[in-house]
Amino acid sequence: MQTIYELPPNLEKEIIEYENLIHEYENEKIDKQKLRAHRVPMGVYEQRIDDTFMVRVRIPGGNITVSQFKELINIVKKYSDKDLHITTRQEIQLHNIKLEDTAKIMKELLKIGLSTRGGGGNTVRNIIGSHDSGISENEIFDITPYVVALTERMIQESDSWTLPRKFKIAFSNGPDDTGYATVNDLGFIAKINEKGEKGFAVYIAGGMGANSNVGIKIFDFVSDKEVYNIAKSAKNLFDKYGNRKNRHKARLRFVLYSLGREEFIKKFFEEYEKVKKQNFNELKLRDVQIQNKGFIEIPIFLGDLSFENAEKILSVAQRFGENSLRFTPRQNIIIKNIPEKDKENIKEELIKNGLIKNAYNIFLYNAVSCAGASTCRLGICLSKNLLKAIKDKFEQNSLLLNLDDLKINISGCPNSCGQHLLADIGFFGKAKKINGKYVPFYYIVAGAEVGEDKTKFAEKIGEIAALDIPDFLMDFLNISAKEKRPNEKWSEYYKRDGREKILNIIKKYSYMENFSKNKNYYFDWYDDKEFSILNKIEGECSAGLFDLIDYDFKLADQMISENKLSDAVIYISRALLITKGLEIKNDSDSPVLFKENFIGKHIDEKYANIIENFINKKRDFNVDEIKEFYNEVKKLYNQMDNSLRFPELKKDEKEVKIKGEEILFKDFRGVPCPLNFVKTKLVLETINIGEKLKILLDDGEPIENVPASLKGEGHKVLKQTKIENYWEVLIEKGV
Amino acid sequence: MILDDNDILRYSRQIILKEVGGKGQEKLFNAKVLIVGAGGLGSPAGLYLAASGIGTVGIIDGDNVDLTNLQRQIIHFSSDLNKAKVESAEEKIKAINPKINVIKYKERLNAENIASTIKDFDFIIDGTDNFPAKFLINDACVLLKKPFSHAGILRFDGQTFTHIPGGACYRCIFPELPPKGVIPSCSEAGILGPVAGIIGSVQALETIKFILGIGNLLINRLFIMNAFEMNFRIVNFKKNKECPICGENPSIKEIKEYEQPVCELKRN
Ligand code: SF4
Ligand SMILES: [Zn+2]
Repeated sequence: MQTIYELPPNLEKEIIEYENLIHEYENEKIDKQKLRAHRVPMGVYEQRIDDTFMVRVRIPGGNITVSQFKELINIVKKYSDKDLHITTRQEIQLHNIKLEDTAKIMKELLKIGLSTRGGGGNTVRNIIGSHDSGISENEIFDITPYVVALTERMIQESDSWTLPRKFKIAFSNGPDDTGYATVNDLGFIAKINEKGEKGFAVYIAGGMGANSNVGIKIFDFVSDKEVYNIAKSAKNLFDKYGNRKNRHKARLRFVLYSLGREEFIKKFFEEYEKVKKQNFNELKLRDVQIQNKGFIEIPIFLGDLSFENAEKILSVAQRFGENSLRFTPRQNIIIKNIPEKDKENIKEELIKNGLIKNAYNIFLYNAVSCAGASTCRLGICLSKNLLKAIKDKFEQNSLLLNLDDLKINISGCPNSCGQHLLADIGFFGKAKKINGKYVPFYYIVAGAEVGEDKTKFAEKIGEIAALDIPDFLMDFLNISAKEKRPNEKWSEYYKRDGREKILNIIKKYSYMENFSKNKNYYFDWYDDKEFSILNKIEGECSAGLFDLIDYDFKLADQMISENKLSDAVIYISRALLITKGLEIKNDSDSPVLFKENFIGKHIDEKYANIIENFINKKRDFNVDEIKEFYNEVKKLYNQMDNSLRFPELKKDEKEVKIKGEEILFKDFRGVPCPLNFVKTKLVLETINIGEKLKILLDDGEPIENVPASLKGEGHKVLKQTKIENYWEVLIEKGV
Repeated sequence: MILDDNDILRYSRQIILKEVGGKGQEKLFNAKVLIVGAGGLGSPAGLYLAASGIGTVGIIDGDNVDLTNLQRQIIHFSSDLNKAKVESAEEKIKAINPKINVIKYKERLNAENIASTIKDFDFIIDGTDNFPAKFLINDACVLLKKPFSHAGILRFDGQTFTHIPGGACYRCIFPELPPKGVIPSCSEAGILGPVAGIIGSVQALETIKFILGIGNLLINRLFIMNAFEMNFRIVNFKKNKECPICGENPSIKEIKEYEQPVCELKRN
């Protein structure tokens, strides 16, 4: 099977481990949270409907071979009844999968050189690249070999799976930054220097979503030989300084915010110098030269690809060799390597097949929408349905020319999964209370610009009810189709005239009386239930350790408020066990484990009482005592460092030198065997032969063993006396 | 060095030995050991030395980790592929014991750099896989009066001995490099990982005993193992009066590399 990238040698083992966890979960040996912590980094998410799952397949730069795609379709058909989905990171997503099948799918994918590892969670995600790399007439150079080679290296390194948060890398084949290098955690833009050498401009710490940021430029030009070293350094930097405690402040850009630009850059270069010294091998670039630059982009509305269409596309692509397919960041499919002479025929064939249309509003198919509230647990509005409504509206009407390059983006909530920050005109969902009830609403954003040294996010310029958006857009685009000059960029048109036009049109849609007249405002698009913001629960974009800990604290808090104090004790003591890699089979084991691992070490002995009471089933706890315990443990959690270590309690000095007496005295009560012997021995090494030492030892094993061992080493035990439940032993140092 | 509570816990199983104790632990901590080659022999040796608390471990190796190494070079993991071996080894050593000071040399030992490299170390472990290197280490250590542990492995066989100044040396047994073809080349020979593991561990053990100054070392004694028959034996040998480097009329007076067909494959 011809493949695009090499899989890491230990992937098979990881899949088997994952499969075992599924079995353990099904036999109720581990709970849902534990499984989730492993499931998500393997690229498996739970859908909004419980017990159905989504699997994301890594496809670097959207490149997949024809034989892989063929097998992939067969695999999906076997396990799912749902369309394939192309993501904006050029991956393929499978939907409606049963939990036990997720592992089977991974095994089958392994055979065809594909992996789901890092499809989610705090990992190095699929590396993306410009849609037209290697086939564009005016690109600087093809970045695909770098995307593939860097992918191979990153997925081989185990630290790529345990980062503070997700880590996104992108490549662009030229200054227009069509691969969005300026808004990823790390981005490379192809460049050639005066000497004709290949290299990149490099951007770091960009990203959309909360506290979005355009990446800062750390290299204006750096040789292409440095790609790996830079990626490795950025990853190390993130690993070291990323905030592991608060996942909402964890992406690399938050390191930038907290360190400040100067310090951040300094720290990056510190890592970079270290990495360079390590002399890593250069990336193994494999050139996949194709003979023909001709290509056809097949629009896939919302990236949803039916099996039927997938097979039609496959049958065409097969004629142009293994390397003739690519998924694009705008969720379409490109068939490439088409000889110029065949292009028209192929187009006709595709039209006959119904894959493309003779004439249509291509911007509707290039439009991007996130999953939205229908499947995303964070979603507020049904963003996909809105895009469908827009499409329906435009397709009933005539064709708008001059708008092919328009980028429409829609997100169901302020998280920018639909990339609304990069839109020429875009929307993101919110809920607005009108007449005492919530209405699905969107903010309007517009005017984004993307390119080296140019990237600027779209600005928020107004808000509008979901229901009004198709009409609003029709109004605006009818005007722009006439007024936007040929070859004028949308960002330029926006500045010159578009902005004014939008502001004017919005006014028409903001009459409050509309809402009482038309009850449709209270329904989201194509939804028969009235809009509500209930049941919009936390999503699982990055399940991990901290989620599990936070979850336990939340439960404990809830139990305290419900006065279920012994349950609270369970959750308080369970919360941090995971940091020590401790597995709990029964919830009621956690207080015992907590006592063994935390009390006396990191948490004051006085809380041992609570645990004793719990163990002895004396459950007459008092609320204040449990609250204090809760606060103590939470305080400890806040002191945890990035390597999951906790500060140790200062031990009381147990050594006392008794004044007036010549002999040295040590209290080794509470020190277990054989450590009490080791410590005694070490003290004896510090005194001269014939000198004496007095020690205290516990009853039982210590007093049975230590004196005998000391004699074995040639020391004399002069006297041993029992005092209450411990012993005083007098030793004379021997030879 | 002052042993803190964690040190006492960490090393308790060896401090407890009469022959080690706190003083011995301190000797180990003050010791500096150089491992030549982070390969099949150097891997177990390095890991054991780190775990025992040898304060300074030097590693010299010019190679990067290759997939064929992983079968026996247990200090390197799959995630280290392509990384410099000295880096990978340092990471593992630090992971076992963060207090160890690691000195890395990403280069091959040769006649020019050997004297300055070994000069500050108390003991040298020869973990190389080729004759020129073994003769080079022997000659330099004899001339500079450095103790070292020699070892060789091939197929199921392994051998090792320890040299201290005044004791017999490698050339006392093998005065010259073997001519081409007498000893099979690495590609023909092959090796089982645990053979390297056992011999490398013996080397670590000799190093620790030397530093502590306890027990009988493999001085003038060659430890020979055949793993196929599972046969271990000791062959006594003497200092050779005719030895070209440590004999009565030595002909070798300077450090020099001697030619011998070098293995085509990567160094072990
Ligand atoms: S933008 Fe919001 S609704 Fe859309 S996928 Fe992201 S989190 Fe979900
Ligand atoms: Zn000799």
